[in-house]
Amino acid sequence: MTEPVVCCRFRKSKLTLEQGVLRIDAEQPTGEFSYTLALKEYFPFLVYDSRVFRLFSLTRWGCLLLLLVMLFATVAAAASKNSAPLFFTVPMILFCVGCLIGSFVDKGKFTLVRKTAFWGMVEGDKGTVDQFLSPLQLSNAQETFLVELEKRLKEHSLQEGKFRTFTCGWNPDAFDILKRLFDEGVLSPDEFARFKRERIERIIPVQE
Amino acid sequence: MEYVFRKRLGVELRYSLVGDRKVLRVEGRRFGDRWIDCYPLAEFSPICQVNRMNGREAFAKLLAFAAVTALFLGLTIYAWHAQFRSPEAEMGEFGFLMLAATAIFGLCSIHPFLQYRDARHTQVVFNNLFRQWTVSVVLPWREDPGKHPFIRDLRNAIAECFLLPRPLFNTPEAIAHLNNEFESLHEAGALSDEEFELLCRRLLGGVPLRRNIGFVVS
Repeated sequence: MTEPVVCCRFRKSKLTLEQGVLRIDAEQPTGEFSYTLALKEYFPFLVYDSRVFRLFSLTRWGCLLLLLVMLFATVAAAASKNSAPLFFTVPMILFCVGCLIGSFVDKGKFTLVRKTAFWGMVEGDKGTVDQFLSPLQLSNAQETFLVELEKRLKEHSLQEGKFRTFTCGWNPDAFDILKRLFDEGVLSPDEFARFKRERIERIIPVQE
Repeated sequence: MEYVFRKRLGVELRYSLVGDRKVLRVEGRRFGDRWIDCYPLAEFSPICQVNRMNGREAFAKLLAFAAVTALFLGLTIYAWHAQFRSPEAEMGEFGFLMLAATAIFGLCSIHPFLQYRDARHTQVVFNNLFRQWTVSVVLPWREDPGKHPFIRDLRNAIAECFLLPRPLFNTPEAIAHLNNEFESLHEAGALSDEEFELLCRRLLGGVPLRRNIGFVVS
């Protein structure tokens, strides 16, 4: 049975799920390019990363704090001398500027804030991540696409098989590690016996 | 099972076992930043290391700033006290200056305080058996990892599925080592006679290695 082709747009790149392959058509300032990633190479879980640079918001709150401190200082200064405006004006101006920049940022008119988000797949053997740029807030179509991608990664992944081919229960260290965990009380006697048994069964062919 | 490490105005880490208890999912959040990482437990060793980070350097900075703040606060109190006792000495202005210095150094001590608070924690580190990676689980300061339910559960889950690379059986010592393991399992009753014979046959190609009892056995 052939799997249906599913495609979705993430920021400036178009992602297409084909038969066991994720095709990425990306637009960059340098030009357009496309490449494919074989789903079987990847660990069957998606990873996510988003970074939000929030300098102006912090400036605003910092200025508010400074304003409060200076308010007390102004009261103290007013009690002794008439120099209140000096202590009050500068943080007030800073606070206003901070609020203004913050409000511009919130409305999206003034994009000095760095907001990036990535979804990615971990390559099974190397541990490197292939990422594709994504908006912070996903649409319904994008969410459905990611669910489908994770499902297909689980279907196609060869990681379990690879583990089975290059490892097995032959290593005597495995028994030592289990014994140590049993001594530490992490494993109950039943679990200890079961885990040891499972490792032995990897050596002895399973009776069918 | 799930465990959340949370700090007010700081990082929030949500650790959970997903995918039939074969994957550790770490969901992080710090201010506006968010991330999700997934690690296959089959690659990690259940034998973990514990690092206790005490944040000594940040504490030294905090102490220095707190000392300077306390000094200026003392000077402020002294100046205001002198002003109260004899207003003609005109110490009020000096007191106000000292108060401003106290406020500035007080604000400066916030950052080392946050650094100290973040640096002070316990780390449980799991090594990858195949690659040069580690994964760490963060616990509150002075938490005993041996008694922590999530750490116990995580180690249990790793013990269930961890895998080691296939050893090279090109030396008689390595074969004898594994044969001894099988013998001890056989004696403990974990292996039946047939299973033991089968394992020995697979390991040695048909010749079960006998224990040396003082003379050579063919």
